[in-house]
Amino acid sequence: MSEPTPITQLRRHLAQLGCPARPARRIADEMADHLADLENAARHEGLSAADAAARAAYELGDPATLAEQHVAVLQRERWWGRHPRLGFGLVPLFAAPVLWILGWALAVTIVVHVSRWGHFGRLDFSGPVIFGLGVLAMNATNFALLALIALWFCRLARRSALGFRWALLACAICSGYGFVSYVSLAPHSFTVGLWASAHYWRDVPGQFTPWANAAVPLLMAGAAYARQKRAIAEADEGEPTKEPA
Amino acid sequence: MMAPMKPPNPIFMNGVPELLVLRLLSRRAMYGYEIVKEIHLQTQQALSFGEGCIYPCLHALEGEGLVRSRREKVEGRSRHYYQLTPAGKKRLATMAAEWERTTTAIAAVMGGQHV
Repeated sequence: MSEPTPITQLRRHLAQLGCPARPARRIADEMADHLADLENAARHEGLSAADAAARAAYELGDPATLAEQHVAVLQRERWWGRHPRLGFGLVPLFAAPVLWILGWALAVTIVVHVSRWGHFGRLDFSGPVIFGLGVLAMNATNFALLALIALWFCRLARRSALGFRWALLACAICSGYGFVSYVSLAPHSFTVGLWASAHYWRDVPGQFTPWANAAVPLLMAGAAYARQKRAIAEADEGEPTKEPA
Repeated sequence: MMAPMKPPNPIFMNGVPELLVLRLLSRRAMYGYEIVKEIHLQTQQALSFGEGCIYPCLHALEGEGLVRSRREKVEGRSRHYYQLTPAGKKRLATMAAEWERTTTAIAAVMGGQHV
């Protein structure tokens, strides 16, 4: 099996470090062009094709180090990249509940507005079918909000070229928050809050186990991990480096 | 075949690649390989900033809005040309003045020896 080209190795390292796709493509393009120029220069000096390729690869440097240097620049460009401990360790502790409450405020506002529409307003919400659908919608909304918050942190980590581990940390915090938060629907009342005890959820009507809430952000972290793995696999497949003219 | 080891750059080089890159780009639009070669040539091989230094430096300067890039197809390859922005020209003037002041001060301490 032939050894991967320096550009394929560079692509792989960039993907492993969590470099976003667009800058990774650009860096690989520029480095491929540079490598071809180095090879051309070596050929003009009279080296054979193999020697020219070997010297160009040597002059280009270690692909892993190159990738680290490029990713460091991308990280410095964003606040989240410069302060990952703060951004993904501390901010989620405060941002997750705030975003969750804001999300619920928006959802409730929408429901209140929609309930004033013609036929919808005449529905009997204390009926078992409608109530059951309401509970289902409530839990779906809660899962969606938790997923969106976790996805937002995953996206920030990716755009800041920070890689998977910081996304995982933020998702773990969101997961913990998902575990202790609850929403409950009863006829004529809707409550959001935090668990006072680990078994409290059993007494709240229409509430899923808190493990389901906790699992949602972790599923998003799993999706982020799968995405990074796919990026690494694509980098391995990589386009062949173009031959110098 | 291995090329000879590149001599290391002096340790007091903070900010120097940025200054040289901005200076070269103030003359004309250039691409990364050209910049690396030009620095090597113009400093008579005393300074050699590799790819791992120049490209991240170019990207950082672009991120700060000091240079902008455009992509061109050359011999079937994608090539990024960089050129200075007005903000880059201002930064170059500031950095060049700082450099002048620093080298003059160091020369004074070194007692007329070249630094």
